[in-house]
Amino acid sequence: MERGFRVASPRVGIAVGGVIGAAIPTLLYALGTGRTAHLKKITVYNGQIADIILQIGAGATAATFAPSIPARRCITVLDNNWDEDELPNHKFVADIYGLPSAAAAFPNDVQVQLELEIDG
Amino acid sequence: MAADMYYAKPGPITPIALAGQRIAVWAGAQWEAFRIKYLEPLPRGSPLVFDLGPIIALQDSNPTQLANLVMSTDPPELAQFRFYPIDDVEVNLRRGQSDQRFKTMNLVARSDVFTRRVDPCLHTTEFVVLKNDAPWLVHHNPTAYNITISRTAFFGFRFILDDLKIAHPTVTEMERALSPITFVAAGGL
Repeated sequence: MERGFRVASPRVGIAVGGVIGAAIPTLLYALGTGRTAHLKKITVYNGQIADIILQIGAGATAATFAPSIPARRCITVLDNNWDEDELPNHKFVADIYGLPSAAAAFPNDVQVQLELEIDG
Repeated sequence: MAADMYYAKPGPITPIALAGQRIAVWAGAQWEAFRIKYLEPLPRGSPLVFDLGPIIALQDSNPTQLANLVMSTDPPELAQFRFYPIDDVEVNLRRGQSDQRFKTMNLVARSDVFTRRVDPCLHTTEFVVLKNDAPWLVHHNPTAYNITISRTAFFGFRFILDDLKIAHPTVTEMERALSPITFVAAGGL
């Protein structure tokens, strides 16, 4: 496989625009046509009063979302970080979404940023 | 000088010959002579990445014509490429649908993700496309899993040619007629 170059996704709050309601997938990184990527780092700050389970995968709606790697427990009021040693070398072939187990109370209650290696 | 006059040279890709120099291209049953009029690079980038799409476990893709790698017939053009698979597939290259390249008597060699381990400059994948000889690709999925994407990337050089209207069936005859000249295989034998 080709070794690519590293990029950081935008810092994304999972209750985008302050919408409070059922958990929905949130776009974490738009890959673009013809590109693939491997996750190298996940950085999450969970500012809510309870732990959440964050799934990362593909699919823009709750009905179409499919996790690509095992879910991550994000501990309350803590920065939760996973480096590439702790992440499977899964090849993402479509836009990457995060699906939290609960919607954040405020837009930036749960903040997610990915580091990716883009190939192709 | 004579030692440089062949294609698929080891090391970073270099043009098969320079403007003003002669080449003889094997395109089937004989060597055809051309003079290079102009050349320019074709860098690796998304326009030269071809995705043959999903392939189920241990199966082949459909043979796919790379129409975007076809060169001009008038004036005659030639392209020189090296290639490598980006995804975990094995690449079978053909000139036309059936002229398979890189053969032994009993098998056809395929480039895969390990090719770059033994050949980082990819000179063993070098081939040329003469005029409208469309290259075709078949991707083989060597894994026990279905894959959703199967890409191969190309890069190289483009040449605009003058057709010298000279053809010979053997190297000896061509060298006698037009030496010095670089011999390049566009098709299999």
